[in-house]
Amino acid sequence: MSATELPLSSEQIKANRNSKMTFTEWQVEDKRFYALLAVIGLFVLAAAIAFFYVEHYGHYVTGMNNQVVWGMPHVFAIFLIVAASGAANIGSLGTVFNKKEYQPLGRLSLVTAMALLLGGLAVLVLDLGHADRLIIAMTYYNFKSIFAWNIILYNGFLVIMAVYLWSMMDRRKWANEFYKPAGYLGFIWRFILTTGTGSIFGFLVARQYYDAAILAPLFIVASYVFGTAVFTLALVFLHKFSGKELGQSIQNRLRYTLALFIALVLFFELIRHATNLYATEHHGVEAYILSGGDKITWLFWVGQILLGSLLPLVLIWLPSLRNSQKALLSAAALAIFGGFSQLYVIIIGGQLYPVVLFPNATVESTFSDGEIATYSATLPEMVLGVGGVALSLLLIVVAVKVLRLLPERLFDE
Amino acid sequence: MPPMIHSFIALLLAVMMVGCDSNPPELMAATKVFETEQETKLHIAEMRTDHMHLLNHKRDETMYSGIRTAKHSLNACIDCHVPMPTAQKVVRHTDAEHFCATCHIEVAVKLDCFQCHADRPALKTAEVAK
Amino acid sequence: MSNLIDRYRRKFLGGLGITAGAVTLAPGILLREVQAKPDDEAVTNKVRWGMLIDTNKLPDGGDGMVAACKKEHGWGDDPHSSPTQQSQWVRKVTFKDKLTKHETSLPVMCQHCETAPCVDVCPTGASFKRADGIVLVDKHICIGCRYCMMACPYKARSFVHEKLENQKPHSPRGIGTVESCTLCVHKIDKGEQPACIEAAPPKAAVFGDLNDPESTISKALAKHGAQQIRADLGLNTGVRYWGI
Ligand code: SF4
Ligand code: SF4
Repeated sequence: MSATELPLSSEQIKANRNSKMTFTEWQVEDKRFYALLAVIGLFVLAAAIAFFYVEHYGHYVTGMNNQVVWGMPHVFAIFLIVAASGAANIGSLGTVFNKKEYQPLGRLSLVTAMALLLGGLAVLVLDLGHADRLIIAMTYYNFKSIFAWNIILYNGFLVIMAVYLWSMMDRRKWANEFYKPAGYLGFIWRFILTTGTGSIFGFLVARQYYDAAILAPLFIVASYVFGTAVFTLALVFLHKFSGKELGQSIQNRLRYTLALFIALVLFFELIRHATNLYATEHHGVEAYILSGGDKITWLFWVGQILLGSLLPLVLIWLPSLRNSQKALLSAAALAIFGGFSQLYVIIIGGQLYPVVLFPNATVESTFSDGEIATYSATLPEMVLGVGGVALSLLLIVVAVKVLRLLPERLFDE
Repeated sequence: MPPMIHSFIALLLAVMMVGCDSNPPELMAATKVFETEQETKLHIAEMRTDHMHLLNHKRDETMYSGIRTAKHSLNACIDCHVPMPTAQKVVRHTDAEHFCATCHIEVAVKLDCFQCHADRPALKTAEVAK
Repeated sequence: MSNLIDRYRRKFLGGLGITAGAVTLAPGILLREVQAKPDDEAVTNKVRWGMLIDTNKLPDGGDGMVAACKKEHGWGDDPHSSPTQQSQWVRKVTFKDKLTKHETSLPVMCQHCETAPCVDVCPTGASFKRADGIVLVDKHICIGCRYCMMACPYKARSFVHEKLENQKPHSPRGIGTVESCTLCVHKIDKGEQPACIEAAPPKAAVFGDLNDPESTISKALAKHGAQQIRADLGLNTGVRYWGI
């Protein structure tokens, strides 16, 4: 279906021509589109099967236990939720900061954000011990709980983004009046949302590795990295897959946004670990994460720092790679890998370290006191997590196919 | 608002029961009987339409306020309506003849109570039987 | 700083428990002390249940108490769950001071915190504190998110990882929900004592009303004080110990 088939009033056509941006559906051959849909759909289907499997047998078929109570599904879910907030940044840049270059990408940015959030929430919800009681989560609220707040924040995010998107797409004048307010509200909401997500961990006094207010700003800067990286990959993919040209200047902008926030995350991580090392009570857990020698230490140094942060920075700033799309794509992919490593270290690593009941004493018990626990994700957990990513992609791909989200031309003037 | 949901579900059930030809299936006999025919009839009428409502109300009273009278207590229902397990036979909620299951299977309403609650009386014999 | 002082105080009091041989808990009079509440009467906050455990009087370090809890509530032998997936309502913890090398064992269960982190974080309100201070999970509205398990500093909560059968009528437990020590609320409501207290060696553990200055537990606490695990968190726990 092409744009010209749609009945447009002459007035609208004029409006389109006059405005600087025109948008189209994703122009991709049907065959290729459905093939893509089928591939992504398979992953979603696999996740559905994984869900029913765990639902049927119970969580004993996962690697999670009573010491490591949150596992791989939560790593995926939190990645997607945090990335959602960052993906909407492109929209904010256009609306709130009035950056003209980003405005053509606003629609795609918001849709990506909504899709990521939905994917993440799906994983989070499907991992519940009682996913069938979702109605209870929506009707019983304990307002002291950050989780309960987050339910409101997530729902609110979807509503605001939907209104925001509508105000971008509807050409009627009164719809346009919502554009700025929705943009500003969305911008603020994103901050609150990521703060809320970081606070899920930040307020936990029980585990030594959490309980730090800095987790909230860390999550905020990390959201920019995850979101920009995912958005970059999605944008390039959508263009390549339909054989459309993508301008260099926009890619360069994304490149520098990515680099800036990777550097900021590194900076916040430095502060976080330095303050932890300063407080004696956190020495144990810091030593475990930074030099404990098991999977977590490797993931931190090699996964998050080396491959996930330093290498992308090099790829972005090496002069010889300045205009290389491959370098940008690799940097984005590595940043995503780094993000997963980071969340794995925080979420899983923080739980592997024992709860401290008696400082100044060596502790033992029949149930992982005083010793590092073990965790490895089982297949259903992995499949569920990957399914969340697939669901997000599915939503993006379908949305760009049926809605006019992509700018007609995105090459350099 | 939760009670609203519950009454809604109860209503739904009632409607379904009335809607289908309303002769319920044959149920297993209770171990105790009321003194008068009148009481029995009242009990049946009340429970057919309202048992979930009453159970939910009681459950919150017990859970939050520690009120543990026998009236409308799930354990008390079970004690009277489900036979005592013996070495030969244990009636479980997964069996069609189980008092609760009979109707719930008939109207295809999932029974969640017994994910947690005991589905048969617990006296010494119950321990022996398992 | 205040942390440190707390720790010294704890140690000091711990010492007190050991040296003052005369300090004993007298469970003899307890059965009459815990009044049976009429079945149809709601619990009130006039009462706050608590218990005091003297670790010096537990030759087995609490194994007997743990076993009694398992028997009462039927946890710990779920057929499919791995050892770390099994429920652990109460566990024996042994710790050895790094300096003095003194070794102590104690049973650790839900401490029935006054300001309970698990209650604060629970999104649906399934984790709640009863008026009389007992912290429970309302499994009817627990969605199994496990946030309370992340929040509990004592690792006192367990998630049921599989379908169960043959639960005890007085202690419902089931798949996909979180559970922890109920302080044997079903027994307390009948005027009985928690199973672990009944199973403890003589004079090793006492259960009672912390709000009643005349109760054995209050008198013992007023006279000799007692320690909380992780007192630095300020949770004002209902379970107190001597000798830690
Ligand atoms: S010990 Fe843990 S489970 Fe018990 S009340 Fe305190 S925080 Fe909650
Ligand atoms: S697992 Fe259940 S009790 Fe615990 S926080 Fe979640 S809903 Fe509340």
